[in-house]
Amino acid sequence: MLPGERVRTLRELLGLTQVRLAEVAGVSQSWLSDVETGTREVDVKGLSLIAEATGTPIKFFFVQSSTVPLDSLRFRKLASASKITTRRIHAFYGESYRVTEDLLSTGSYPPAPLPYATKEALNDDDIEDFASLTREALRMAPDKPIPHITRSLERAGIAVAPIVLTDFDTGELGSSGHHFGVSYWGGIGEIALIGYFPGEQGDRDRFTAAHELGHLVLHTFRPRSSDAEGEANRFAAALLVPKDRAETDISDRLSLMGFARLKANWGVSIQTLIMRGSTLGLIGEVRKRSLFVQLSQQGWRKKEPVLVGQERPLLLWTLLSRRFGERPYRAAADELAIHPVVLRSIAPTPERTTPNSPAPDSSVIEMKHHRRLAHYSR
Amino acid sequence: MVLSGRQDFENGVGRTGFEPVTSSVSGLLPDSAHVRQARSRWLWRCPRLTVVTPGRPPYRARGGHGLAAFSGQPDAACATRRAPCVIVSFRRDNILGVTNLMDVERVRAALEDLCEPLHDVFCWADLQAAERMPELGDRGTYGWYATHTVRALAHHRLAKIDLGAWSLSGNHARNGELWLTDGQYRARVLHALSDKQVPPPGLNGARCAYYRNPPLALFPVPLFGPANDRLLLLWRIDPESHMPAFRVVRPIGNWKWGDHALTDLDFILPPTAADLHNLQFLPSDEGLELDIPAAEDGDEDATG
Repeated sequence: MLPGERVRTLRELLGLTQVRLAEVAGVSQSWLSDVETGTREVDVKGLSLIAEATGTPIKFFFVQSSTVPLDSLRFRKLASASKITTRRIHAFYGESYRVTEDLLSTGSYPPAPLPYATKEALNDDDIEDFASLTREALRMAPDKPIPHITRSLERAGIAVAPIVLTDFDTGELGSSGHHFGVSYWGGIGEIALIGYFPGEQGDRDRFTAAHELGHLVLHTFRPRSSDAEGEANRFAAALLVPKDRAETDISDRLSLMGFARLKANWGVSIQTLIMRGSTLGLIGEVRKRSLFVQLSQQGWRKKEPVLVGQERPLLLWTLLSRRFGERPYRAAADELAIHPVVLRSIAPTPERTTPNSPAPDSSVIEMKHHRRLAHYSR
Repeated sequence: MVLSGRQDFENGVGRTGFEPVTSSVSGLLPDSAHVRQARSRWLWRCPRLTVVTPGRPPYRARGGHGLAAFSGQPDAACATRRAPCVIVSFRRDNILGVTNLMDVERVRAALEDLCEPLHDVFCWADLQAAERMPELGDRGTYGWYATHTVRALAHHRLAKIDLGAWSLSGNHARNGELWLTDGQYRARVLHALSDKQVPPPGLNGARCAYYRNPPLALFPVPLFGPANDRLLLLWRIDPESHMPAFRVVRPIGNWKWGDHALTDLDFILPPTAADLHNLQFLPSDEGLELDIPAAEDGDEDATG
C-alpha cells in the first residue's frame, strides 16, 4: 500500500476534497493530486503536515489498508443515497474493519460461527430455515422476541459498530446520505463487522442489524445473488419474528392497534410486521393496503408510535478499554494508526444511563427521509 | 368573560355574578314546549334574572337567542325588568363549547371501543369494494353502489370482530341498517353526503323520536337512569386516501333537509382511543454478558 493511497483514504474518511485538504494542510492541490495518483514521490514532510492538520497519527500513512474487498461490501441504503457519501462510508468501514480485526485477534475473541448459504437460488422457505439456524448459532430462543440483538451478535463474535460521520470543519454530525447499514464477513473463521448509522428509533437499528446479518449469512458465499436486498429483508423479518410465532400472532383481522402491541412485544416496526404477515400470506393484499392507508393517515409511515429503545454496542469498547485503559482514544489512535474520530464512532464510551433513555446527540444521525422496506438498492 | 355564580343562581342567593340561563342549544328549540316550560320555571324560581336580546329591551327578550344576566342589584332589576348589569354574549363567548365539554368527553369515552374497529373496518371495506368492482370506481355515477357495498361489508366484518361493550343491533336487512349499542348508548351509523350536513330524520315517526334527545344544556345530568344517548355516527370516506372519518352527532330535534341541524354534540371520532405512549419495547441485555477471554498473563504460568 502506497502512502499516496492512504492519503486518499484519509481524505475520503474525513469527507474532504483535495482542495480543502490542501488548504487545511498548507500544501498545494497539485502536489496532493500527484501523491494520490502515485505520480510523485511522497515526502514525509508533506505527510506530517497533513497528519498534523487533520489530527491523524503519522503511522496511518504506513499501515496496510483493510483486507475488505470494497466491491463486496453490502449496503442497506436508499436508492437516493449519494455516491460521495458511499465512498466516504467505504473508507470509514474499511478502516473500522482493520481496527476491529486488530482488536478481536489481539483479544483472542472467537470468530462468528454463522451458518452460510451456498445454493444459487433461495426460496422463502430456505430463508426461513437460515433465519432459524442463525438463531440457533447465536444462542437465541427459537420462538421468542430478541431482547438485544446487538449483544447477541457481539456474544457470537460479530462486532457491531455505529458509524457516525461528522463534518471536519464544524465537528457537527453529517448526513449518512440515506444509508442504514453496511457489513462484511471474511468467511469461516474470519472477522465479521456490521456497521450501522444510529437512527432515532431503535426498531430501525434492530432491523438494520438483522438485515446486515442476513447479508453475512446469505451472501458471503453467494455474492452474485440477483435480489440480495430483498433476501436480506426477508431474512431480517424472519429472524426477528419467527414464522411459527407470526402465524400465531398475525391474522387478517389484526387491527393497527394489535400491530402496535406486537411492536411493543417484538421490538419490530409496525410496517415490518405488516410486511411479515403479507409475506407469509397471513394477511391479504387488500388488508395490507388498508393498514398502510391507516398508517399514512395517522402520519405513522415516517414516525410510528410505540417507543423501541436503542441498543448500544459494547464489544469493541470493552476490548479497546481493556487494552488502552478507560480513556483509550488517543493512545489507541496512535497504536492502531487510526484517526480518533473513527474510534470514537465505532467504540463509543458506554453511557451510565438506562438503556431506554433517548440517544445522546453525539451518536444520533437524523435521517428525515428514511422509508423502511422501500427502494433498497445495493 | 368570567363565568361564575352558577351555584348562586341555582340557590337563588343574591351575589354578584351571572350565568347563562338559556343557551344556544335551547335557542334552537324555541317551539319546544318543554324547553319553554323549563325556562319559565327557572325564571320564576329566580326573579332576579333578566333575559335580554341584543338590540331589544330586556322585557322583549326572546327565548334561546337571548342573553341571560344575573344582576348584582336584584331588587331593582326585578322591579323594573329592564336593568341587567352584565351582558353575556353567546355569540361572542362560545358558551356552548364550554358547557358541553364534559358531555363530549363522556360520549367519547363511551365510544372508545368503537374508535379503531370502525376506522379499520370501513377502510378495509372501501378498498375491498374498489378491488372487487373496479369498473364501478366512478364515484359520481356509482357512488350509491360504493355506499351500500361498503356498509354491507362493514356490517359483515363488524359482526365478526370484538367491539368491546358494543354490538350490532337493528335489522341490517331493512335498507342496510347499521346500528350499534352498548346497552345504554345507541348509535346509528349513517353515510354523510357532505362534511357539513347531518341527515335529517325525515317523516318516519320512529326516526323522529330517535332524533329527539333531551338537550344537554337543560338536563346536564341524566334525570333517570343511564345517559341513554341516541347518537348518529356519520361516515365519509376520502376517495383519494381511502381513509374513513366519523363524526359523532347527538341530535336534539327534527329539521328539514338543508336547514340547520339541531344537535348539541358534534365531534370527530378519533381513529384510536388507546394511549400508545405507554407501549414500548426496551432492549435488555440481562443474561447476555460478553464472554471475553481472559488476558494472557505470562507471569502466572511462568515456571522457574
